[in-house]
Amino acid sequence: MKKQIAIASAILAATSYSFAEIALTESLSVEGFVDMSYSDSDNGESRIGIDQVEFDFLFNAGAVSAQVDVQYEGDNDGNGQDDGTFIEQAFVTYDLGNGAALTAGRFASQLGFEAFEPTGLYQYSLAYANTALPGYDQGVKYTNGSFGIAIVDEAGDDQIGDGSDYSIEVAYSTDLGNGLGAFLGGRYNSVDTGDDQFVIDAYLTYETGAWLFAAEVVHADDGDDVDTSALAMANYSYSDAASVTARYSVEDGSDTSKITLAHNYALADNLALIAEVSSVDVDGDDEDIQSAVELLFTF
Amino acid sequence: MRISPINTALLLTPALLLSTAVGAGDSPSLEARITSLEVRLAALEQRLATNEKATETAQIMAVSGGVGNSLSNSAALDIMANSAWRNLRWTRPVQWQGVVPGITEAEVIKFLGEPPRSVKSLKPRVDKVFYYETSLGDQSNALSGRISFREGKVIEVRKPNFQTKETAQ
Repeated sequence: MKKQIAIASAILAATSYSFAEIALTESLSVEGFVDMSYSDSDNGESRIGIDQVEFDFLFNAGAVSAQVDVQYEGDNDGNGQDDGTFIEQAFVTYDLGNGAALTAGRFASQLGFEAFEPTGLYQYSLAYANTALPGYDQGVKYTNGSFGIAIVDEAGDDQIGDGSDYSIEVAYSTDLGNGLGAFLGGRYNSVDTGDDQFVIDAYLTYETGAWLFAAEVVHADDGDDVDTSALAMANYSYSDAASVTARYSVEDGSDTSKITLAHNYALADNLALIAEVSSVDVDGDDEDIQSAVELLFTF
Repeated sequence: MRISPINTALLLTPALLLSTAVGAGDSPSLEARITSLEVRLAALEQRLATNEKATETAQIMAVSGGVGNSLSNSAALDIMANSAWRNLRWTRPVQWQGVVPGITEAEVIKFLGEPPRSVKSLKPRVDKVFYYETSLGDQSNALSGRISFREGKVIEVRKPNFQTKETAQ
């Protein structure tokens, strides 16, 4: 229940051939997860059900690899309806050699400390509710070791070119040694119908023994509005199968602060039980206590 | 009758004519037979190669299935029959000798081949696990080994129980 600390791999995670899967043939394999939970909130909202089911199909044939992620999402936005099944990612990567690769298709952004999938999180919930961090984009990306640059569509308009929104994203990570790692990424969003926006994301990780510490700052500026989000997290693995996590996050755009305590227990290598309690304070109002129990199965 | 050159010639001439006629008739038949034998030889060689592969599969089955029930062996056979591409180096004990804590994923694959299954571990101190196994359904009879990784290095090795193989043989 953790994000790979080697930050360089985080950049490549969405583009390189994954090695956690069931091999179907010599060149085709599948992996995925089932994520289910019960959650409850002070404001009376509670739900139980499947949050996500995902199948990732991975094709690998020499210099060419491809990945298609098919995802089913339950009623994660609380509107009483399932969010349906869709293609979360679909991309082709051509290995240029010497660690360089070219990727085209729909893929995850390189920015952000927290993983996009529950399998990479230390908790049940995400730190930010409203963030300038992007999600999945369509475009092309060049990566070389710990450096990556991408030109993609912006805000899901699915078009790149004159008269259309687009984004340019650059990311770099480095291992500073002694368990310390650093990431710096930026994104320029060209918006036709509004102000262009810059997003800067920086985070540090420090791992020592059974401890992992992380701190992140996300800063977005479109000339008129400035939005800053930040998190600090500590994770301690007190046994081979269990860990506890404390996280504090703030978002000045929505004037929100959040404190989260989580406990992860791995019943097996591919089955984990996560319990979490969060205190969310929005705009100085009464705190909302949110709790959740999550069962996560990977394959 | 006296033996004279004339008599001898009279006797030998039909014999020579007969043998020539017979020889003339045998020549194409012999070629046909040789061709037929060559075809049969090729077919036999093909069968031999097929049987050798089947024997190797059976040996692997003995390793994986041991003396288990026929259903489990059948299931394992199905897996094995469709898994030639998996590179079964890992079914040989000698291949596991170099797999020790501290070596890299690439070295493990060099020793054992690609794992049929792997997972990104949800345990906090394990990043991923390689599963080398012949059967997903029958843990009691299947040959199964697993290797755990942390930061790209082996931290734990659980070798298959090759005693089953020895028992079966």
